[in-house]
Amino acid sequence: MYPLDENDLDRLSAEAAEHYHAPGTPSWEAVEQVLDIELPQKKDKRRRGLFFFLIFAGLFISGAAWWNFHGTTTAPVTNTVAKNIPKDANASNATPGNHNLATAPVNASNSTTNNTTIKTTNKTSATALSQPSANSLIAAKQSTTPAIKRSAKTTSYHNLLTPSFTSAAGAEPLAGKGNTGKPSAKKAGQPVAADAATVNGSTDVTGTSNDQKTVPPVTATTSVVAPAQDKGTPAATDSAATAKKAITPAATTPETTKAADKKKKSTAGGKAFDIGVTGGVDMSTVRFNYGANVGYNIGILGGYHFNKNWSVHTGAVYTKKDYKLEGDDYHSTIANNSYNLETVDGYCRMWEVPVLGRYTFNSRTNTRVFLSGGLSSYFMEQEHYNYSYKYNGTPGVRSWTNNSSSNYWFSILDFSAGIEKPMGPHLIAQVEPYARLPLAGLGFGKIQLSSFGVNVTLQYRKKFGK
Amino acid sequence: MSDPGVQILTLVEGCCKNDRNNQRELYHLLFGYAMKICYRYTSHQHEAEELTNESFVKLFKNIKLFDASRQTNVDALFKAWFKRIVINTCIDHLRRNHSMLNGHSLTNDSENIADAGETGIDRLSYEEIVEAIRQLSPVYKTVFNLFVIEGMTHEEIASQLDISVGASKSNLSKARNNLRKIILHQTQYKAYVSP
Repeated sequence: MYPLDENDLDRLSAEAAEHYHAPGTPSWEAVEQVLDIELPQKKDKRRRGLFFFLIFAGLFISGAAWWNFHGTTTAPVTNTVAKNIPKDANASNATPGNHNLATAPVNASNSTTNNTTIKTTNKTSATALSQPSANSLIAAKQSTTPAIKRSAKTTSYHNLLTPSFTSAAGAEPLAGKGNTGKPSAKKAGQPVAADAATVNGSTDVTGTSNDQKTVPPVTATTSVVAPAQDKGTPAATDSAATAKKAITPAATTPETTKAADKKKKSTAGGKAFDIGVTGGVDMSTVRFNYGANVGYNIGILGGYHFNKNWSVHTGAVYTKKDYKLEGDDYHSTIANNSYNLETVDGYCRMWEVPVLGRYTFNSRTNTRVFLSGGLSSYFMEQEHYNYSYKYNGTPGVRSWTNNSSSNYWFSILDFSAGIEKPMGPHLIAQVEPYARLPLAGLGFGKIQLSSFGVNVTLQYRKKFGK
Repeated sequence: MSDPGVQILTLVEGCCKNDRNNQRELYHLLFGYAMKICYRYTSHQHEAEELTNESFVKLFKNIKLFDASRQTNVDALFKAWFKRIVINTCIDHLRRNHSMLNGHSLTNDSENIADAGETGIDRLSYEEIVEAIRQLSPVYKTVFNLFVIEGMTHEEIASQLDISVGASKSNLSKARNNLRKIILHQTQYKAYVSP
């Protein structure tokens, strides 16, 4: 035993502190739980949010593109059929199942009142009526194929063809008339019949040849047909050529229909203006770190339509945005290093003035898809913050409300995509998901606030000159 | 085996990117080191473990502030830097849980331990000496640790604990006296029970 002086005590204590083995077991899970709250893995979350947004935007764009493509290719055919069906169906006894490829375009020509077309068609019909030759049928088939192909995909195909056959009943007496005392028809009929028997004995062809008699314009323009009947012999001998002639104008008929539709569209899709009320929900985030309460938008929007597709829109929208962010994302100019700011949550109320360009896709239905893009300005009315901080390790909470206004001109990139549907002659309802991405820091803390949400708009639209 | 400096540097870089795997690895690497410090400042093991974990959270939150370019021995530099974090965490804990730190109770803190006049510290193991330190009152223990083991001056201790320099010296003196008494008790007991 010896007395323990200060130096020995200090030395031995230091040695002991350095060499002893402290008990205790690591518990990484506990640390990880705290880290998940205080140091969330930003990148993954940000990527996830961006990923969902890109999927959402991609779906909208691809849907709109499909809509656009689908609508422009099929719309004219549908319109033509819809107009033609009632006339032909009433004029004759329809026999379902007897479809004529060759007469399809001829039938379509009913809608276009072109004299030359009618004449040529009648010529053909007269010839075809008296000479159902296989050659003419083959030629007719060949010449009509491009026209048919376009409409063959649609369900309206059967409707388009049926009336042509049904007019055959009405055409028969006329054929009788035309054939009386006209040996040329008979002459022509003999080889044709032989051809038909030898070349093609299938029911399809014979059926088609029967249908060839049924070209509808015959009944409508009997007097016009007469000259063609007079030239019955050459027409009959060169049946393939006449069939081609007969079909050619018929094949061009959908084009003329298209042109008419286009003309109609161009006159219909003129300049217009609109005004509407909008409202919706808003979810704001700073770097996708935290969720927060849902805010709202409400306001008035107006627009000018240059044509059916392009328009510009602006207005004033009052918005409240709730958000929560990390202390690091809050950039105050009067930051105090003694305070370790951990999280900030709060809200802001402000006016938003968007300036947007919009493209509306064409559609075969009333519902149309649009894409918008532009810049928005914010005019801050009020900011409220709840700060969670640590001062020398001691946690604390403090609130602050800033009522001073501040302006942020064109500081937000605005994207949206939506659908619109007419609710009346001038009323249109729109549903429009949007994304607003910051180009500059907002508010006292210069926070990079991104907003996502959905707006519903009820719009009054009026065309100029109506 | 890889250089500890390089290993630490790699882990620190990963932790700067908030990578959980690197954080976990660094935690397991330095847990014993941090626990050794916290254990001396606390009276209960679970308290030491909590402070250790809290120190690591602070480390990961502020790891971007670590400047590895200042010294070639990154391992020692990083451990010294981390030690400061751990000690500050322990002091913060003392502030939170022992309000008598600020006031006269600090200077009058005393324990009724009999003075035997001499001791046999050579008979004690390192663990027993540390246990003796841990038996001191929180304030004495903190001042003793800071001055004797961490090597801080009275001015630094006074600044850290927000007390006067005189109070720091007084507390250190009393801490030594009390520690001496505790050790004497332990050696007497050991002499009595040992064959």
